[in-house]
Amino acid sequence: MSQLVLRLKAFGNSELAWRFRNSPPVIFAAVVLIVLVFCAAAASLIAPHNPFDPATLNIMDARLPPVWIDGSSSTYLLGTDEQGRDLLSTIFYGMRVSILVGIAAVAFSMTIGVALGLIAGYLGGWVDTVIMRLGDIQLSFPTIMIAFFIDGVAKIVMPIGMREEMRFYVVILAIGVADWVQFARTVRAATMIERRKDYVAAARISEVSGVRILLAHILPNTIGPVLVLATLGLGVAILTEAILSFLGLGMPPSQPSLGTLIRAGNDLLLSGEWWISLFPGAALVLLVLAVNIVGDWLRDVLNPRLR
Amino acid sequence: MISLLATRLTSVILVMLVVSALSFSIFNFLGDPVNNILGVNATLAQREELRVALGLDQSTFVQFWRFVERAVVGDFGVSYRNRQPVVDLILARLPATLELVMCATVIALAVGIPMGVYTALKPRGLLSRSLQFGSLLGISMPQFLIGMLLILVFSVELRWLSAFGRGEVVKLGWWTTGMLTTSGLKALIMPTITLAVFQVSMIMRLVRGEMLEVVRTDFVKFARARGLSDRAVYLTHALRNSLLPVITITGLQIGSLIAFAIVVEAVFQWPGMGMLILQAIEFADFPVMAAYLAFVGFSFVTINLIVDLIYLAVDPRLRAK
Amino acid sequence: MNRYLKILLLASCAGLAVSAADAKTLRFAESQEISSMDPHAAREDFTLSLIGNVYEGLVRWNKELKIEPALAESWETLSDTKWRFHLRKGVEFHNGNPFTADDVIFSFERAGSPGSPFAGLLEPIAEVVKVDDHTIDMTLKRKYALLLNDFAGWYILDKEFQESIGAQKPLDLSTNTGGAMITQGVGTGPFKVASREPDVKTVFVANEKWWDKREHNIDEIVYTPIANNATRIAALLSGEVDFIRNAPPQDVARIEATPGMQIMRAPHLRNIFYGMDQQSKTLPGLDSNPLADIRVRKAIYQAIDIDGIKRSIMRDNSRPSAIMMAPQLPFYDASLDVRFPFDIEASKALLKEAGYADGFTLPMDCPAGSFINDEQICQATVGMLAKVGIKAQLTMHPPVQFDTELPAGKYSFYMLGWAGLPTLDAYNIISATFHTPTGDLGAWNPKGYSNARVDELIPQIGTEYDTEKRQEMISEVMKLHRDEVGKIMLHQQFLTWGMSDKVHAIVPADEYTRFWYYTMD
Repeated sequence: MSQLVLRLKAFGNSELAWRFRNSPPVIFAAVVLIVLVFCAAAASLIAPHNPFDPATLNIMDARLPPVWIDGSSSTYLLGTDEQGRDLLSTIFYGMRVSILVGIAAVAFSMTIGVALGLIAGYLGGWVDTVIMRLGDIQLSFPTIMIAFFIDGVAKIVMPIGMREEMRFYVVILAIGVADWVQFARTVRAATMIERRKDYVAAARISEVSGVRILLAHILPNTIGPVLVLATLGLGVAILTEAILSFLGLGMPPSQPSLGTLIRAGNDLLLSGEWWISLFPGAALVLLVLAVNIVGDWLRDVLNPRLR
Repeated sequence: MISLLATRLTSVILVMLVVSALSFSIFNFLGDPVNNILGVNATLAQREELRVALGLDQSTFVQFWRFVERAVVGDFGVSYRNRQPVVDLILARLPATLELVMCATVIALAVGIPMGVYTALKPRGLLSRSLQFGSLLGISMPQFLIGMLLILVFSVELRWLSAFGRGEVVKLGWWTTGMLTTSGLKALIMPTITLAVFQVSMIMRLVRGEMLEVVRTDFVKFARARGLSDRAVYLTHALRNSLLPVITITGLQIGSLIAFAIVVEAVFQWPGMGMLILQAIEFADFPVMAAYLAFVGFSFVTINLIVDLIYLAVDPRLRAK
Repeated sequence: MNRYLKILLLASCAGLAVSAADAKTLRFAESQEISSMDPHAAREDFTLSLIGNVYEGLVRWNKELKIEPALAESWETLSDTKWRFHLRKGVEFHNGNPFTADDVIFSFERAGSPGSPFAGLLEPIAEVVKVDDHTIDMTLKRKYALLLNDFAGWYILDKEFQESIGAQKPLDLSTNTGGAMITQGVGTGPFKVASREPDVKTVFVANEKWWDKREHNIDEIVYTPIANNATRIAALLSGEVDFIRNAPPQDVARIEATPGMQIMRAPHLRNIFYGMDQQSKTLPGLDSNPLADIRVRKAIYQAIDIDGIKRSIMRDNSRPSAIMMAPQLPFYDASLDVRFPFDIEASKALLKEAGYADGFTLPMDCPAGSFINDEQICQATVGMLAKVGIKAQLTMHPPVQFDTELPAGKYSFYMLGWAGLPTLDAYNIISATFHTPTGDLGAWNPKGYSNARVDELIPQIGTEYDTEKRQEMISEVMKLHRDEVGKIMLHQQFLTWGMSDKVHAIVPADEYTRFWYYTMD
C-alpha cells in the first residue's frame, strides 16, 4: 500500500505531471476525454434508455427534436432518431463502440508491429529484410483499400447469420492491419540501438534466452515512442472507422458506432431533422479532438529531442 | 543506385501480383455481375449462358491466370458496368482525381508551411495557439462531415457553389482539366478544401516540429553566434533544412490522398478514380476493381521510389552507403 | 467543301441563336447512371426508362399506362399463334435512315440472340417474317397473352447504323462489339443523343423530325448521375438541377417548403414484402422451421405495425397492401386488398397455438438501398417482432450481394419488392414470386410459397387471351396467396418526384420518365 502511495507521489513530482499541471488546455482535454470515456463505458448504467432493446422502442416516438424545441418530449434530452431511439443514449452506446473499435484496432496493430519490430531488429539478416519488405508492400495500400479487401474476405468466409455479429472484429482487423508498419519501424530502430549495448551482450553471455532479453530489456526501452504512436493512432483509428461507416464498410446499424449514426443521419441533413446527424457528429469530433490533444501533448513531452 | 532500382522494381512487380491475386480471389465471391446485366426477369439458363460468356464459370485460378496473361500486355479487360476497356476508363477518370489531389497538395503546402513556420517562431502567441488548436481540429474531423457542411452552407443556403461534378472541362489530348473554365474552377473549391484540411494541419505540424528541432541543432546556434538576425536564421537556415522531410512526407501522402479522395468524390459526385471504384464495387465489376487496385499499388510504389531517388540525389551520405 | 462548311456554320449559328432565345433545358439528376446507350445490353429499368426517350418499340405505354401503337400502326391476329403487324410509314431514324421491316427483323435477331439480356423477353417468338417493307408476320411458339406488353420494352434499332459501328450484337464482352454504343445511339424517338460522358453527363436534344405530334416543349435534357442522396437533394434545392426522380421521403417536406419547388406524387407499382423459407425442415440455429406453419407467418404479419411504418418511416408516402398487385395494374381486385389487422395479442395467441409461446430466433436479411428506406423498415420490424418474443437477427447486404444470394436460397426471412416491370401484368409478378421454383418459374421464390393450385393456374394466366377468364384466375391466385400468408405484405411505395415548379411532368406508376409528355415554363 505504502509502495503505491510512494509511486504515486513520485509520479506527482515527475516532470510529466509537472508539465501536465502547467498546460490548462491539456487538462481540459483530459477532463473532457475522461468524461466521454466514462459516459461510453458506463453507457448501460447512465444512459436514460436502452436503445438496443428492440422491445422498448416505439416507432411513434421517432424523430422527436431535442427538448428545447417545440414538439419535443421531455424524456428525450437530445431528441430521437428515425427508429424512435433516444439520441443521447444512442450516442453513449455509439461512443462505446467507437472507442472499443479504436482501442482494439490500435492494440492489434501495436501487438503485431511491436512483435515484428523486435524480431526484425534483434535478428536482423533475411528475417529483417522480409519483414521490412512486407511493411513496404503494406504501405502501398491505403487503409480504405485494405478495408475493402478484408470486408470482402469476411463476406465470403462467414456464414450469413454470422456476418453482422462478426462485423466488430472485421472492422478492427481492417483498421488495425493497416497500421502495424509504423510501430514495427519505430521498435526496430530502437531495438537495433539497444542490441549493440553492453547490457544485452552481457545478458547474452550469461545465456539468457533471446525472448527474455527482448521482453525484459529491450521492450521497456521502446515503450515511450510506442505509447505516443498508440495515442495518436487511436484518434486516427476512430476517425477511420467513421469514414468506413460512411462508405458502408463500418459497424452495422444493429451495433452502431458514432460513424454509423452519422451516416444514418446524413440522409436527414437537409430534411430539417439536423439533430440526428449533428449530435453524433459533434460527439465524434469532440472525442477525437480530445484524444489528439492529449496525444499531441504526450508526444511533445516524451520526445527527448524537443526538451 | 542500380541495386536499389532493381529491388524496388522487384517489389513493384511483387506488389502488382499480390494485388491482382487478392483482388481476383476475393472479388469473384462478392457478388454476381450477371444479375445487374440481365435484370430480375432472367431465367437460370440465361444467367448461366452469360456466366459462360464472361468466363465466370471457370475456376478462380483459371480466371486469375487469364487476367494476369492479359494484364501483362496492358489489357485489363472490359468493364462489366459500362462496357469500356478498363484501361480507357481509368485513364478517363485519372485527370479528375489527380487534379483534385494536386490542388489539395498545393494548398496544403502554401497554407501549411507558413503556418508551421509561424507557430515555430512564436510558439506562445495567441495566433499560434489558435492555429495549433485549429490544426488539431483539422485532423479530428472526418472529411465527409466537412464536405456535407460545406455543401449545406455554400450550395443550399448561399447558392454560391455547385454541389456536384467538375463543372465544364476542357480536353487537352487525353487529359481533361477543369482549371481553364470558371465553372470548373468554382467546382474545384469545395472538394479541394475538404481534401486539403487534413493535409494543411499535417504539414503545419510537421514544419513546426522540424523547425523546432533544427533550431536546436548546432549549426543554427553557430549561425546565431555569427550575429545573423533571428529572421534570417529561421527563414534561410532552419526552414531550408526542415523542408526535405516535409517534401518527402508530402510526396508519400499523395498516395493516401488518392485513397481519401474516394470519400470526397463520393460526397461531391466528382467523376474520378474514387467514384469509379465505388461504382465498380456496387456493380461487382471485377475487372475494374482488380485494375484499380493494381494501379493504386503501382502508383504508391512508384511514388515511394521517386521519393527515395530524390533523397539519394539530395543527401550524399546515403549514396556512400 | 468550303461552301458546305460555311453553310454548316451558318446553320449551326442560326440554330444556336434560336436555342439561346428560349431554349428549354431540363436538368435531371438521379442516383444511378445509364448503363449504356444500347437498348438491348441490359434489362435494367432505369436505363430503359431514360433511353425510352431515344428508342421506340412497336408499341408503347401511354400516360394512363395503356398500350398504344408506336412504330407499329396496327396489328391483327391471324391465328392464336400468328400475329401481323403493320408498321408506321414515313418514320425516320435520327440519322435520316427510313424505318422499315428490315430494322424490326434486325432488332429481333439482335435482342433475341443467345446471351442477350432480352433473349428471355422474345423467347415466345418463333420467327419474324417480312411480308413487305411495312408489314411483318410473327409466329409464336405457343399462345402468349402478354406479347404487346413485352414489346413496349423491346426497342427497335437501325440496321444500317448498327452495322456501320459494328454493334450487331449486344453485350459481347470478349470482343466488346457492344462497346461502340456507350456514347452513341440512333433511334426513332422524341429525343436524340447529343453527347455523352459516362458517369458525368448525358445530353439529349429534341428530335425535330419525330413522327408523332409534339406535345412537349423541351429542347434539351441534361442528365447527371449524383449517387449521394444528400448531395442530389442539395443540387435540387440550390437550383442546379430541375428534376430528380426519387426524392427520399424525409426530404419531401423540405422540397415542398422551398419556394419554386414542388413534389409530384403517385403510387408506384412496387409492393414491398417479406419473403420466407417455407420448405426447409429447419432454419439456421433452430431445430424446426416455424415459418412453415401458417399460424407463425400470420403472427409475424399481425405483429407488424404497418401504419406506424407508414407514418414514421415512409412519412405517409406509402399505402399498406394485402395483395402483391398495385391498383394501377389491370385485373386488380380491390375486394381482396384487405389486410389482417395489426394486433399484438392475436399475434401472441397464434404463436402460442403454434407452440412458440416463448418466441424464437429468426435470421433476417435485407438489402441496403434497393427500396425506399429499406434499412429503416427492417430495423423497425426487428423492434416490432421483439414485442411478440421473436428475436430477429438482422443482416444488411449491399444490393449486388443480396440479389445474388437471395435467388440462391441463402436467406430464411428477407425483404423484397416487386413491381411487375416491364410487362405491367400480374403474370410477371406471380410467375417469379408465387410459383414453386421450377425451371424458369419461381426464380424469386426460393424455398418459398408453394401451392399446387397456384402452380396450375399460373401458366394458364400467361396464355389466356380472354380477359374475364384471366380476371377469375388472377383473383383466385391472389386470394390463395393472401389467405395462406405466402408473403408478409408491407406496402406499396409512392413515387415522390422533386422538381422545380417550372416543370410539368407526369408521374406514371411504372416510374418511367416519358419526357415527350413534359412541358416547362
